[in-house]
This record gives sequence, structure tokens and C-alpha cells, in this order.
Amino acid sequence: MQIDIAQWRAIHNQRQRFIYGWLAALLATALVLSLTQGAIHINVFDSLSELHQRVISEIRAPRALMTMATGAGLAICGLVLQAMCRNPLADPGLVGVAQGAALFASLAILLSGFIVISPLESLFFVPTMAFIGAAIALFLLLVIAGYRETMNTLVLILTGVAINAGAATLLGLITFIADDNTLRLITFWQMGSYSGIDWPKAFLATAIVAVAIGIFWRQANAIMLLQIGEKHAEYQGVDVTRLKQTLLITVAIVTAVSVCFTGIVGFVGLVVPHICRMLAGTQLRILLPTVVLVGAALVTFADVAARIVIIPAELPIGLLTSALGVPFFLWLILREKRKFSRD
Amino acid sequence: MRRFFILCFACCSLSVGAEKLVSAGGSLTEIIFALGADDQLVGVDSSSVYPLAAQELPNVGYYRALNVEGLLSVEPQRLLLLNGAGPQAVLNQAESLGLDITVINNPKSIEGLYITIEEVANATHKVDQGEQLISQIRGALQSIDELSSVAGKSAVFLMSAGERGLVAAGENTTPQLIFDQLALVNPFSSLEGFKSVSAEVLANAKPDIILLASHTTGDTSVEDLCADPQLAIWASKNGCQLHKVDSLQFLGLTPRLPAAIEHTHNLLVNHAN
Repeated sequence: MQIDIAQWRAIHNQRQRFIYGWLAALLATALVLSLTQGAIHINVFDSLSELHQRVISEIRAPRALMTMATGAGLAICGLVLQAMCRNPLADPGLVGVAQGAALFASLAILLSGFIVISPLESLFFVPTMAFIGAAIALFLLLVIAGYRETMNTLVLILTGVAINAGAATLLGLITFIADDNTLRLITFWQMGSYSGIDWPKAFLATAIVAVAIGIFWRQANAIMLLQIGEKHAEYQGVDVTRLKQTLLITVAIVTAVSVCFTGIVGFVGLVVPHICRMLAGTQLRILLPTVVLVGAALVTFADVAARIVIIPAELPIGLLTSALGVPFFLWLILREKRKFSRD
Repeated sequence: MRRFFILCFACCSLSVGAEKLVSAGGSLTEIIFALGADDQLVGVDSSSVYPLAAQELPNVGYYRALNVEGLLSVEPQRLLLLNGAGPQAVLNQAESLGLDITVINNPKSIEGLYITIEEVANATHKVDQGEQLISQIRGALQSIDELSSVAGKSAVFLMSAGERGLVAAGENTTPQLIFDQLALVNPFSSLEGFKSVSAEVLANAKPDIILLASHTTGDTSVEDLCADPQLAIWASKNGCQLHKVDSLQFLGLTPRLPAAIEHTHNLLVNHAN
């Protein structure tokens, strides 16, 4: 049976709408669970007490918004980095920004034991330091990988590896100096948590992720050309260096904002784009919304699980996302290895 | 009539002013139990592992990584927190949702322990029991002073010993406080907190006894530990004067401090004999 291009397009659009609809329903389910499930049993079908109303509006709702925003942000950053580096194993951790944030957050936690800061200052001290760490890592990345000249992808990845290694060494030094309690706090921070998220933080992260999604959407055609090859993109009129700089800075800012408030939520940027390719194919215009929806839903589901697994305590969310990510990562490596040996 | 009985029951079950508490911080929980105020506890944090009864209460997570819903779920009226508990954003949320918060400093000295006991006693409305507990500890410490002197002998506290190296207690640790009370020499007192040390320095320092935190050794026998290359040189010179001690008793500044000091004293006296 032969079908013409119009029929093919109609089938394709129908399939696309079906996937979006299904994923939107998945995200809505995650949102409902996030608002209704937690350590406190709240029956939303009963009349809610004042406490229950406040728990939903002041604790669960901002947390749900934050998980959706950072989940979408980290996932879309992973997708863009994989396209930019033409490397299926790239994720926001690869460029060293998350590790830079972790280093400075740990330094802030260590310093909190030596300097006197008010409770209000302590609210912003660790996130601000984490953001500074991410900004320094980004600055180093741009300087070393070449901001003004042509940015070589291989040099970019190697610079990221070097920044990660340097940050890990300094983190080791902090670990050596820190006492037991501080050590434990640093470890907890690195495992990620959405505890203590309020509306201002959630709105800030959402606004930045929304702008980033807008930038990536606008550049989607150029990214697709870049994915095919830098020379190819250049022949098609794309300013490759400028495009890479824009993408890299956007990725770094989204990563920094996500990490500074919640700690490191690992493997989302790596895993989600691959899940989405299996669902929706490799066309970037289709992949971008898919990745946003799946990233938001996955992190929100993980946060719900983190909250209810060991009530009244909470599991660090990074443990759950890594528990999912590590086997997937290994499978990916094995698949690449098999492909490599066939070639 | 039913309401009257419920009211009577409520009056009998709670002493005047007693509140439902969550205690976050192992030493605070231990003091609360020592004061007999444990009936007020509705939850504890994961560092509250002594006495065993504390582990049967709902666990709200580690005291420096609390979550507000977990706290609210056990329906406390007050949070009794060790200094450093947090994150601050979670405490702010808990306070805005109507929980009273009392933050108590982590004791670093024996005087600090007395102050902590007073603060916990005030918060749990057990002022008389607090005074009694303090005088008990003072009395126990005085009776230790009257024991035969072991001053000048040397001792080391190891957090861990094995293939991954030695981790010894230095300044600003509870083991150092115990050593100071008995005027013992700790060759690692110049280090801050718990730090890795080399087997060479340990062998050279020749401490009379080594105390080893029991939670890190499992079922390994003392003889096997002394045969480990990290401790073998020291053991060959001094004999295997290695003693496994209760980690909780030696690592936290709690009402069990006099017992830990007395235990260390007895080990040294037995060694001399």
C-alpha cells in the first residue's frame, strides 16, 4: 500500500498529538500526586482544615512547580548538550557547572561552621555560593574552550572533564577539613532535595527555565543542522560559534539555578532525552516539547516517591534519579559498544 | 458524661504544660529520656539512637536535613532542635505553620552539658528532674576524681582501624574531653576533630591503651585487629591493649559521660596491674 506525503503527514501529526496528549496526562497525574501525597494524609475530597490548605498551598504546590521546572530544565539541557556535542552520553554534569556549584555549596556549608550568619542570611548563603561556583565553572569553560575563537566540541568536553576533576579535588580537600556533621550535610546536599522550596525560588527557576526553552525552541532548526555537522551548519548559514556560546551559557544558567536550590539531581539530563527519542524519534522540534514533559513528570514522580517511601523522613531525590539513571547509563554504554563492534 | 471522662483522661495523661515534642539531635533525645520526659516525644531524628526506645519512635530524618511535612505528620507542638538543625527554609516553613521551635546549643564541655540539660529540662517542664540529673553527674564526676590517679598515661581513640587506615580523635571531640578529665596524654590532640593518622606515628607514640569505636569493627576479634598491619607494630611493642568501646557512649556528650570516663579509668588501671 502506498501513501502520499499528505497522508503520511496526517498520520505523523496524529501520532505526535497522541504522544503529547499521553505525556500531558502523565504530567497531570504527577502534579495531582505531588499535591495530594506526602507525609501528612490529606483527603482532598473532604473539607480541608486550615493546616491542610496551607500544607498544599505553601509546601506542596511550590515544590511541585520547582520539580516540574527543574526536571524540564535539566532534561532539555541534556538534549541540547547531546545535540551540540554530538555525543549521546553528554549531560549538564559533563561541562563541570554542577560540580562547580557543588564545590562552592560545600565551601559555604563548611564556612557556616566558622562564621556567624543570621538565619535570614543562611537561607541564601548556600544557594548564592552554589550559583557563584557554577558561574566560575562556566567562566573557566568559556575561557579555556575558547569564547572568542571557534569553539571545538572535543576541547569543550575535555575542559568540562578537567573542571570536574579540579572541583572534585578541591571538594576532597573540603571533605578532609570538615567535621563529621558538616561532612554529612555536604553529602546530603550533593544527593539533592526539594525540601524547603518556597514560591519565590520556584517562580525564579520556572521563569529561567521558560526563557531557556524559548531560546532552544527558536534555535531548534540551527541545532538540528549543528547535529548533522558543524561544516554542514556553516554552509547553511548558521553562525556555529555564536550558536554554541548561546546554547552553552543558557545550559549553564539553567543548571546553576536548578542545582543551587535543590542540590544535584543526577542523570535526568542524560536519561530523559534517550527515553524521549525512543518515544518520539529524533526530530528536534518534536523532541523538545517531549523532553520538557517527560523531564517534568519524571522528577515530579521521583520527588513524590522520595517523600512517601520512608515517612516521616525523606529520601534524597538524587538517590532515586541515580537509581534509575545508572542502570540506564550502563545499558546505553553496552548498546554503544555493540554498535561500535558491528562497525 | 462521655465528654467528662475524655477530659479527665486528657488531664491525667498530660502533665501541666507538657507539649508534644519532636527531638532532633541525639544528645537532646538522650537527655529527654534521662529526664523521664520521653512520654512527650512524638518523633525523633535519625541521630537519636540511644536509648533503644528512641528508635521505636517515628523517625523524621537526619536533624540537618529535615522536611516540613515529615515534621508536621507526627503532629508535634514544639520542635526541640540541636543547633545546626535545618535547613533554615524548612524551619521557617514549620514556624509559619504554627510549630514552636526551641534551638539548643550542642554541648562542647561538661559545663555546656549542664546548660544543655537545664535548657531541655525547661523546655520539657522537668526543671526538678533536670537539677537532679545535673547533681547526679556532678557527684559521679567527683567520685571519679577520688579514684586512683592515671594521670600522665597515654591513650588514643580510633574511630576506625583497618585496611583503609586509622582515623583518630583529636581536639574538640568527646574522647579528648574524657582523656582531659583523667589527665591522659593523647598523642593526636594537636589534630582538630577526627583525622586520618599514619600507623608509623601511632607506633612511635606508643599509647598505653587504644579505644576503638565498636560500630566500625563488627565481629572482628581484638586479636585479629591487633594483627592488622596498621596496629601490628604498636601491638608488638605494647601488647594488644586494644579495647572496643560503645561508640554512642564515647562519641556524644550526654548524661552517660561519667560512665565513659570511669570505663576508661578502669581499663588503664587494669592495664597497669
